[in-house]
Amino acid sequence: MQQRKIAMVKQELKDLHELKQLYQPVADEMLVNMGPQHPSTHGVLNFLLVTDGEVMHKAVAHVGYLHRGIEKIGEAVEYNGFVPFTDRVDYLAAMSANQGFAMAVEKLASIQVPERAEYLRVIATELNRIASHLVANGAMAMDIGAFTPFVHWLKEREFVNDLMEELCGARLTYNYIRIGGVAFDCGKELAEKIVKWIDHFEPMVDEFDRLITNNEIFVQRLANVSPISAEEAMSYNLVGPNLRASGVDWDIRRDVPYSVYSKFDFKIPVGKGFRGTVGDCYDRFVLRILEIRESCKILRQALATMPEGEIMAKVPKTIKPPKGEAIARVESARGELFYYVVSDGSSKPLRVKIRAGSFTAMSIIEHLSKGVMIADLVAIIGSLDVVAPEVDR
Amino acid sequence: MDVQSQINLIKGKFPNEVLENFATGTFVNAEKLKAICQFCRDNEELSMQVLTCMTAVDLGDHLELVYHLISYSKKHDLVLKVTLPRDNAVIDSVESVWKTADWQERECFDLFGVNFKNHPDLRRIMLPDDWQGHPLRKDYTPPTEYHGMSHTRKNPLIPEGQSATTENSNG
Amino acid sequence: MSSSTNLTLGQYFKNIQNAALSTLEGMAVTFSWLFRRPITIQWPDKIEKPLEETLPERTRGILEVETRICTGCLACQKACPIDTISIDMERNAETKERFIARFDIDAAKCMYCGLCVDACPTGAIRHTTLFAYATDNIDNLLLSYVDKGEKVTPFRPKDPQPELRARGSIGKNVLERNLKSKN
Repeated sequence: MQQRKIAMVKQELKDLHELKQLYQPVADEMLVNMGPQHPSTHGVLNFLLVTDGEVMHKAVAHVGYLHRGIEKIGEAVEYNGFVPFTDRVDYLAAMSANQGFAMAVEKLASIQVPERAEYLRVIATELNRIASHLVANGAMAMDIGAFTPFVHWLKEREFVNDLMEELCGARLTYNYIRIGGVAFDCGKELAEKIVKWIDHFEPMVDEFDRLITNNEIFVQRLANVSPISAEEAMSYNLVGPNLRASGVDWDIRRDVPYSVYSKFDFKIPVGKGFRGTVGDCYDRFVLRILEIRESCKILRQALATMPEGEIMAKVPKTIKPPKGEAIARVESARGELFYYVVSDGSSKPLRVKIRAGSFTAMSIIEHLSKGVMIADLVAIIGSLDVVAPEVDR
Repeated sequence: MDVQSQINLIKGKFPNEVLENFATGTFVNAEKLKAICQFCRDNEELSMQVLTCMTAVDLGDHLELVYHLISYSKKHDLVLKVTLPRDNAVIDSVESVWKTADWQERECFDLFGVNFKNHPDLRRIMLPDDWQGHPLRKDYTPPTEYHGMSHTRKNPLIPEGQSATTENSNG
Repeated sequence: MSSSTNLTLGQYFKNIQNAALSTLEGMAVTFSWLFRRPITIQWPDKIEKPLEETLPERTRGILEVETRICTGCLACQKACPIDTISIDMERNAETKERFIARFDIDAAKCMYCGLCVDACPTGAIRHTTLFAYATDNIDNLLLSYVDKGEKVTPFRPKDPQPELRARGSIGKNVLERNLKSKN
């Protein structure tokens, strides 16, 4: 057994050595690390670039710097106790991450969520989506070099953070959407505050358009940069705004409806080559702004039609679902979050699998980066909205 | 198209390879998995353009690989499962069918030790390249140190006199 | 880069006009912010009340325990997913009654999820609004709510309501004591 282990490790190291030979630069190329610490990569990601100075010949992504073993932790804590860990899978869109896990366990244990709780979930996730898109677009603009939009959009996000703090107590890792409902109720004054904020925010989105979206320098930097066709997007399993910018009309909220989204009237924006080709970086940028506007619409409708009632179903203190498995899909800000929970009848899950949108978005960067300049690589990573904790979990 | 008709369609082409059914999909034979996946993607009525998720479950005495497929144009989904023995988990890679299987299979290899044949670049993705063991297996014991860095931290909640160091409770 | 196939002279100048106008429009937006009131708060120097008093009621800051209404049921210790709370219950040799001998919370490990607060039947363990407790010695972050040698009788529902201390005061005292003693 020991001999087999040693042989296995030796084989892995030999393959690694062979692989390193493949990436050896030739002639006037150099091997540069766009290293784990870098102001332009969104999180702790490493890219090995084989480049001749400005044009890249190969870009290999090394991930795993933020691997915390959340799926292994899922097998050691109880169902209720795992919900705060799902916050940390994607901390910019934590509400949707909570909701995915809660939906999967509710399917397993056959728990019916009351209607007011569903409306509160929709309100929380849409607010979170706006906040996440503000950060995504702001960080992308900052990577390209425009610092002002970043500061303006994070200022708007501060108001959302304050609203979230009044609703559930935390500004980033909410632990709000629990199994069976939501944790706290939203009173009348908080609902009015949210409506007042939306009234203040919608003209600001138009102001952002005037500031940066139509700016000719910005457009020239992003249009026609690495367009992704629809077949490639589906084969590489891109999700969310990345998929819709390539022309594929697929949104979980409309096509696999969950919660109470079927009661609201909202459009799904699809990229159509706003200033360049379909599926380039500019499409992905503009699509997120259009989605912010649609989220505002959904928020208004949800706040106006929210019914009274309970916010939490009758759930036992320790949830012990029967043996089986369940999946849940949620449309988070970064795309489809896919949860697969297997239960063996005890109070701790047997397996929790989280497939996040950024994981598959990272895998397409190697394919897109042949013959592209390094500055465009920064634009690609920013436009794909890669968040490192989602990639590594 | 509901799940049963999809399974019947696959059974029509691969009569001996479709094993036990369940609510959302079916078990299939490990050797023919790649051919079945190719059929699911190319067939007009199934047209499973996307492999949403590919994962493994350690069930104690064997491993189960789970493939979640979905079709955006027909709006239906299917689950394919394969059982593999724990000691010698080898299966064909489906990277030539869906490009996303590249990284998902690397993750499965890294965390479960499943070997994928004909994979273009099978090496560890989450863990460092010289890590030993496959963490998500149930019989995995975490090492106490890695390159001289210790795994333990003195737990301040346990008062003096009792055991001084303890491992982090979640590995 | 946009591939510029043969442009007419008119299109060429129109492109330049477009570029100039869009840049100037963006600068006009930035310039208009010169005349708007800034929203930044100069913390902690130029504020009227301490920030802890203006935060919403549900804010999840550091944990504190009002031991006068703690029933010793250990529900918080069981609810915590990362074993951050450690309580020792001992039995008095003569009267055979239980009492709380140790109630430690490791604030360095706590993830402020609020599961222990939900589990508590009387609301003894609760979140405060304190958030500014950075220190350079991690031992300062072990909060002990029962002093060494102190024996706290657990609260029973039939007992008369004790006088409760203000929210935040207990936590503040424990933090200040930690910083003074070990620093």
